[in-house]
Amino acid sequence: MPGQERISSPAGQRVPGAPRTSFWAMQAEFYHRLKVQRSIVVMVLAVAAYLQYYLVNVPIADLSQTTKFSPATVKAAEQVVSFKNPETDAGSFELGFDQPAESQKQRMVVDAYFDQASLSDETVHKLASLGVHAPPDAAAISYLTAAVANGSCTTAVQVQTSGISGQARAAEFSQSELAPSDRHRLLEVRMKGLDSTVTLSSQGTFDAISSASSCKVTLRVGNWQQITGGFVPVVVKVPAGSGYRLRWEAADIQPSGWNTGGPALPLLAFGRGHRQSFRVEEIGVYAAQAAERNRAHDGLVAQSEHKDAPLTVDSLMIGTDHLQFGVSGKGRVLENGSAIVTVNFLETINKYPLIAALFGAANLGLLNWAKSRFFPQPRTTPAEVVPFPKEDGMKNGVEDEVGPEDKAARG
Amino acid sequence: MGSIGIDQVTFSPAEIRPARGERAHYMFHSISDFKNVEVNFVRVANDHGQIIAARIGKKLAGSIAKNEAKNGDWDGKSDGGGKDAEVYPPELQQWLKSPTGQHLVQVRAWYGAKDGDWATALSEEFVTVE
Repeated sequence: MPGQERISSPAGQRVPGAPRTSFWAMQAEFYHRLKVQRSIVVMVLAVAAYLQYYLVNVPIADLSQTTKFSPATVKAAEQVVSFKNPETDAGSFELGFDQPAESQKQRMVVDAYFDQASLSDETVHKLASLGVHAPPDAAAISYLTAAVANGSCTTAVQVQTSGISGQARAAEFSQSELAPSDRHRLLEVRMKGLDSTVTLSSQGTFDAISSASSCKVTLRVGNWQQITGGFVPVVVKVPAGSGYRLRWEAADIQPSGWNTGGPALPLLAFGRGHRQSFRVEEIGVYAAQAAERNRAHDGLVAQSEHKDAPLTVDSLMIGTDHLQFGVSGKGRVLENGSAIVTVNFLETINKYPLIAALFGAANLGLLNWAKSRFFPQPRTTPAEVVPFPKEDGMKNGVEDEVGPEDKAARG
Repeated sequence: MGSIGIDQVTFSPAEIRPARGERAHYMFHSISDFKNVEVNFVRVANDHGQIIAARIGKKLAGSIAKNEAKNGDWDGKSDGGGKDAEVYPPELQQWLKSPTGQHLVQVRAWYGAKDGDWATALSEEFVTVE
């Protein structure tokens, strides 16, 4: 505007002595520029389009909005579940199996297998005090429990973990094969960024006559083997990343008529309080063969909303051909890299005619506004009134038929 | 070792000399109500390369309520391996009757009658009788 050019210098500084223009007037002048208005139109349309896309694809904010984790299943020999930053008590993650004392529960004997682990110094010294010299080096370890005839022997397993600073922490559970029968349950464990200390303790009844233990435990470390009557706890140190397996077998079911369709059993308890639940930041159910880097795009993932509000894993149960667990808490869920969404908001709006009409009108108004900014109508100027030329006939005798408008036009 | 029914089992000191009148002390805590509790003193040893375990004594502790703790003393004496230890080889009989060795405590608790369901727990510590 020529007027403004006189007021401000090119650098925007006020020229001394120039007439002062109010701030609001300058703002109004700025926003009346067509380019500015078009930019605003583009921005408003973009925001509106994003908002409408979001309303159609609203990610779930609470895991109760999806059935994917009520419960989630992990297929044996196909999938693995990873619990990122698991916690049972403040700053720790513990799990274990102890023989249930309730009368309805099936008595189970558990064996443990370690890919690469070592006996703790305490266990080596305890065995040495009994005249047995166990190898202290890392090797494949197995701990097998059996009960002598008419006796009863149970093994308790307690897993304590300690984090390695600077490493991402996760507990992975899977089943590399189907259990051979309903009498068996299998679980494979791999702790990432967490060293495990596994305590195995077998005890049982005593023979009524001889008082001897009913347990027969076979401990193997590499090629070394020792048989014990139980009652000597064995502590195994498992480095992070090394796998181990637990194999349960029902102690007192007859060996005929087993089937393979047994229910999932809550064999594990978590934390010092032997609870059925623990907390995690993220859960992922992936294909067992999926490479680490591809997992995020190929599986079911639940992420907690905040680190200080983790998800709760509940009732991790072990079946013959699957693991299952429930998850609750606030967070989002991704399946094969795409967010699982909640109800379609716009679809819901369309169920209410009045709201739908208002929404449609708002959209139409927005589009009209955009159209007016990009394709403005030419301004209409008042039309010049041109009097009709008078014909000769009118001058003679038809003058009376001239309407009042013509009279007015003539003045 | 903790258990679903009984936990916090302790057995100390690490070494006792019964000849001097020293006694071992045990303690345990109950997570449930039990009608019968038995405390077993278990000896473990190496018998020709095999670690064996056998009960050499026991005490009845009656009933226990949830969250209750009980304790007691053991004089370190063996009952010789039960009523009929003659079924064992002579060396083992000798071992069972011997006053020395490494021991731990097993607490066994029954919900109802003694032939019913039970829970057990072991002490982590060994007590060596000299």
